[in-house]
Amino acid sequence: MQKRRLASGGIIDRDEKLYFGFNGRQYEGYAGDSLASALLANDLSLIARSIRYHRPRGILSAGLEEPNALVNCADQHGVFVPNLKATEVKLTQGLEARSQNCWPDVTLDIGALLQRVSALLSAGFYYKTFMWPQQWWHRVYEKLIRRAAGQGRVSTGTDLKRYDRRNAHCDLLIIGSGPAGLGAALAAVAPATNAEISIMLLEQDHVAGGSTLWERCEIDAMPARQWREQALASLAQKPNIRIMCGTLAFGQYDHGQVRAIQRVAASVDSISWQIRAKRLLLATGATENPLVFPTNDRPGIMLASAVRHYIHRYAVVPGRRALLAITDADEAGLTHEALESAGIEIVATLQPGEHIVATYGLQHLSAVGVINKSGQGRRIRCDLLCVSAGWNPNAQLLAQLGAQLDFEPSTGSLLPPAQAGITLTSGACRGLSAMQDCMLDGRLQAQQAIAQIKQQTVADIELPEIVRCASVTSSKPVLSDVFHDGRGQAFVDLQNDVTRADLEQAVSEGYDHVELAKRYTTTGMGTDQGKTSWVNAIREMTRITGQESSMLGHTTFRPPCSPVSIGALVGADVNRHMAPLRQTPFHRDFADSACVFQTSGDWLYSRYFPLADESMEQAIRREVLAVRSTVGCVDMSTLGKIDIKGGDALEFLTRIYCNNLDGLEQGRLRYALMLREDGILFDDGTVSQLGPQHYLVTTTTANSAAVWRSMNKLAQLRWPSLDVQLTSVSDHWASLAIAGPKARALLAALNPDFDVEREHFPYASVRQGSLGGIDCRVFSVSFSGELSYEINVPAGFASALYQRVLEGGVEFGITPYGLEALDVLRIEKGHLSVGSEIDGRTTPADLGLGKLVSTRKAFIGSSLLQRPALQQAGRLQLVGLTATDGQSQIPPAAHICEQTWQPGQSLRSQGKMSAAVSSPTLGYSIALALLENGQQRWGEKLWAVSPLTRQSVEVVVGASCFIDPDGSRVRG
Amino acid sequence: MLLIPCPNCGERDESEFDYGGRALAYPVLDASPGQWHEALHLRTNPLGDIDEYWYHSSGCECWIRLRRNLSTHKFSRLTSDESNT
Repeated sequence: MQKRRLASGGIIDRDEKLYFGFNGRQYEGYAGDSLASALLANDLSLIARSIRYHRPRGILSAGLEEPNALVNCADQHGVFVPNLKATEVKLTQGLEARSQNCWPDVTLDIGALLQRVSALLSAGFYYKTFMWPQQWWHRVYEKLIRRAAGQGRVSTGTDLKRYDRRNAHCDLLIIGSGPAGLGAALAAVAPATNAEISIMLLEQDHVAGGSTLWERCEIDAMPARQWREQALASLAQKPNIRIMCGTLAFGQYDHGQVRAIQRVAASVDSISWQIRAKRLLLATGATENPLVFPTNDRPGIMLASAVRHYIHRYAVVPGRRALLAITDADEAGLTHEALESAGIEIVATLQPGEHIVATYGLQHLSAVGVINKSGQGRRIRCDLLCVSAGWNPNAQLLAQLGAQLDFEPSTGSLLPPAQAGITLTSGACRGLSAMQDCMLDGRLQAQQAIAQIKQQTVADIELPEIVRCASVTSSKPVLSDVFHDGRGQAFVDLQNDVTRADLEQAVSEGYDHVELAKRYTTTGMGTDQGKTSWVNAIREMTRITGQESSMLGHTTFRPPCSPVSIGALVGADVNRHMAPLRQTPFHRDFADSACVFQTSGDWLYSRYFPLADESMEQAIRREVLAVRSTVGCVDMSTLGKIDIKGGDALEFLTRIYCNNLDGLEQGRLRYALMLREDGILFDDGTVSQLGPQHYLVTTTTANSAAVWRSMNKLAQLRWPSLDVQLTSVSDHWASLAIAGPKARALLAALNPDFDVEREHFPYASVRQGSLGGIDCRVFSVSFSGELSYEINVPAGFASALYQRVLEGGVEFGITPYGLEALDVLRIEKGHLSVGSEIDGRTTPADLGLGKLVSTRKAFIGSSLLQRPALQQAGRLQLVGLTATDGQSQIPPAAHICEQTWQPGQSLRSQGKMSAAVSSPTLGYSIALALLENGQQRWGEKLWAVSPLTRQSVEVVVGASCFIDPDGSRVRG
Repeated sequence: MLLIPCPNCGERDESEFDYGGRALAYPVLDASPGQWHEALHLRTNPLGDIDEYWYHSSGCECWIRLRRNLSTHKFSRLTSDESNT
C-alpha cells in the first residue's frame, strides 16, 4: 500500500512491484523508482539524523546534491555500501536500507540530546572543546568522539562487488542528457559530414532525459517528454554515438581525459572508464539552492524542483498542504501547476517582503512562522515547504582543471565561461534556464565543438545570450531574501550542520578566506561536496566580510565531484591481479620436484626443495652442504641479460662499467661494477665477450629493468654517435647454474662439444656450443664460491636441460637448491646482494672492491666518486662478523655497538648488519655488516645489539669472506 | 593523466612511459666533481617550460626529449638541434 502514490502518471512501471526494506520494515515500490521516491510514496519522510546535532532530516532534493537523506544500503546479495544518498539509489528488488547517524533508531535517537549542548559544538569545536584536562584526551574524549563521529558504517568483510576498468576514445564527449545534452547530440550526429565524428554521451541517471523527465515544459512546440522520446529514437539510429546511462563522469584530468564510473545492472558492479576526448561538452545542468532561515532543516522542506521531480517523474505526493517560498516567478508557476496536478493544497505563497522566522514540528514539518514587512507574524499550518533561492551551474568538471568560475551577484551563481581549453559548457550548466534555450545552446555548442575537432573555422556561431540564471525574471532575488533572521539554527550546510552563526564565528576568528572558512567550519565537505551549500555560504561570507563576492572566489574543485568508491577506482587489480607474477622457464619442472616457491620482486622463485617431511631449515642445510661437498643446481634465469654489438660496443661498456675492460678477450668474462652518476654503486654483474664486437652482460635480477633502461638512455640520448646495438635477451635464455666440487664432472657428463678441462675452460670464461645437441652458452662464474657453471640454453629447452642435469647428476648426488640456500652460500662467500650491501649508499671501496675501479679512464660516476664525502674516514665498510664464543646466534638486523644494550638505554650505533645466517658449512653463526672504518678494525670485539629481540651478542670483526678466501675452490 | 607525443607511436597514454627526469646539460665524463655536482644536484624549478626525458617503456622503448609547461602540462616541439641531447 503506497499511501502517497498517484493513481496515474510518472515514469514508473506499476506492474513491476519491488519490495525493499527500510530500517528493518518491508515496503513496496515500483520499477523506475529511486529509493527516495519509494520512501516518500510510503509516507516516510524522516530518513536520517544530521551529523553533528543529530537533528531529524528528510529528503531535500531528488539528485546527487542531496545533503540529508544518507543511508547504508545492502542489496539482495548482502553487498553493503555506506553513505549513499537515497536520491541516487535506484530501487531494486530486495534492497535493504538503513538510516545513518542514529542510535538506537532514527525516530528515537540518543544523540539528539546533543542539540541541548549545541553551544559546545560550534565552528572549530574539535580544536577547542576537548583541550582540558590534558590527560583526558586519550582516556575520555577520543573514545567519545570516535563513537559519535563519522558517517555511515564500514563493512569489514571482503568486498564482494566486481569492478573492472575500461578505456575509450572519442572525438566529442557530451556529459548530461537533458535538453542541452540531447540537443548537442542531435546536432552532432545530424549532418552526413559528421559520420566520422565519434561521440559519447554519459548520463549519471539510469534513464536518459535529465529535466525532460520531470519538467512540464515544451521543446520545439511539443511536450518535453515527447521530444525526449523522439530525440532518443533518432539517436538510436546513429552508429557514431554511444549513449551510456548510469555513468557518472566524476573528474576531468589533463589532455582531455575524463574518468567515469558506470554502475552496471544490479548496481553492485561497476566499471571505471578512462575516456580521452578531443572536445568535452558539459550539459550537466544546474543545482537549485535552498533558502536559509531558522530551523530550515526539517523533513518536509524540499527544493521546489525536487517537488516537481517527485510529482511528475515518480507520481509521488510529497505533502498534503504546501507553502511556496520560491524566488523566481516562472519557477513558482511551474511548481504551482505540479502541486495542483497532484491534488496538493497550496496554503500560501511567500510574498516579497515576507520572511520565514521559524518552523515547527517534531519529526516532520507541521507549521511555518512567517512575518511580513511590518513585522506582523502568522503561523501557517503546512507539511510541505517548497523552497528555492535560484540555481547554480554544475560546472565542477570544468573547474577541476583550474578554470575560475565567476560569481554573478544578480543570479547568485558561479558561472563558467562558454569554453575553457577543450571544455565547452552549454544549457543550464552555463546559466540558461528555459528548456528551449538550453536545447538550442546545446546544439550551437556542439556545432562549435565539432568545428574545432575538424579544425574548421566556424563562421562566428552566435551563442544565445545568457539571459538569466533560472531564478531571475521580473523579481530578482536580492541577497537579503535568501537569508531570513530569527531564533533557531539557520543551516547553510545541511550535511555538515554548519549554521550562519558558525560562519560568522569563523570570520570573526580570522578565517575569512573561503578555503580557511571551509576547513574551519567543514562547509562544502562531505558526500554532497557542498552542492546545495556553497553558493549560500559565499553569499553569507560576502555579507559578513563586506567583500565583493567576485573577490571572494570559490574553493578549489577537485575530483571526484560526487563520491566514488575506492574499489571502483582500483578495478580488478587486487590480490594476485595487482601485478603480473613471472615464472621462470624451469617453473613446471621445479613444481614436479616438490619445490616450494616464493615471490621475489615480480618473480615466483624456487625457495627450497624439501625431501619428504623435511622442514625448511633442514632442506636449506642439506642443499648448502650438497653444493659444498658434491654438486647442486639452481635457477639463474632471472638475471638480466643484455646482448651488445657494434664497432663501439667495448667503448660503450668501458664508459658504463668502472672496471678496466682493456684485456678482455673473446671467450673470457669479467665481474664488473656499474656506478650511478653520483659515484654510488648501482649494480654488479658480468661482461662476457662472445665474439668480435659482440658482448653479453648480465645484471642482477632486481636491477635488470633499471640497467636496461639506463643503457638505452645512454645509447640513445647521451652517446648517439656510438655504434652500438642493445638487445635484451633476458627472457630468451634459461639459465641453470651447476655448482660444487663435482660441477666439472657433471658438465662433462652432459656431452658438451667443447673441452671442459680446467686449462681449456678456466674460471671466468664463456663457451658457446652444444650440450648433447642443445645449443648453449656456458659461463664459468660462481656466486656460491664453489666451482660453478651457469648453463644458458634457449628458454624452450629449459625442461630438457633440467632433466638431463638431474639424470647426469645422479651419480654425483645432484641437489636442486633454491633462493634460501643461494643466499646462505653467498653470505658464506661474502658476495654482494642488491638491497643488502648494494644499498644505494655504498661505493666499491666501501665494499672492499676499490681495487676493481679503474683509475686510467673516465666512466659514469668516476668524477663524483672523487668527491670528499665518499673519501672521508668513518664511512661504513663491509666486514664479516662471528660470535666471540663461537656458538651464539647473531640476531638479524642488529646494530653494531661498543657495549651491550639495556632496555631504555641509548647507544650510538657504529654500523648495521646487512645479512646474518647460521652457516651449515662452518657450523656457527656468521654475519655481514657495514661498520664505520670496518676494514681497519679486523680483530676488534664489538656487540651486535638487537633492541627488537633484546639481545646483545659479542662479535669479532673480520673479513667478509668466510669460505675459501684465496678462491682455490672456484677454480676447481 | 598526460598524453605524450612519441615520435614513433604518436600520442600515447602516460601509463606507457617511464619518466626519465630533467634533460640536464651533462658534462663530459672526466669533468671535475664540481661541474658534475652542479649539473646533477643544483636544479632550477621554473614556472613554465622545462625539458625532460621520457622513456616509452611499454611501447617502442624509445627515449625522447620533450618540452613541457609545468603549469599547463602542454608539450611543445623541440627543434631538431634542441632534441640532440
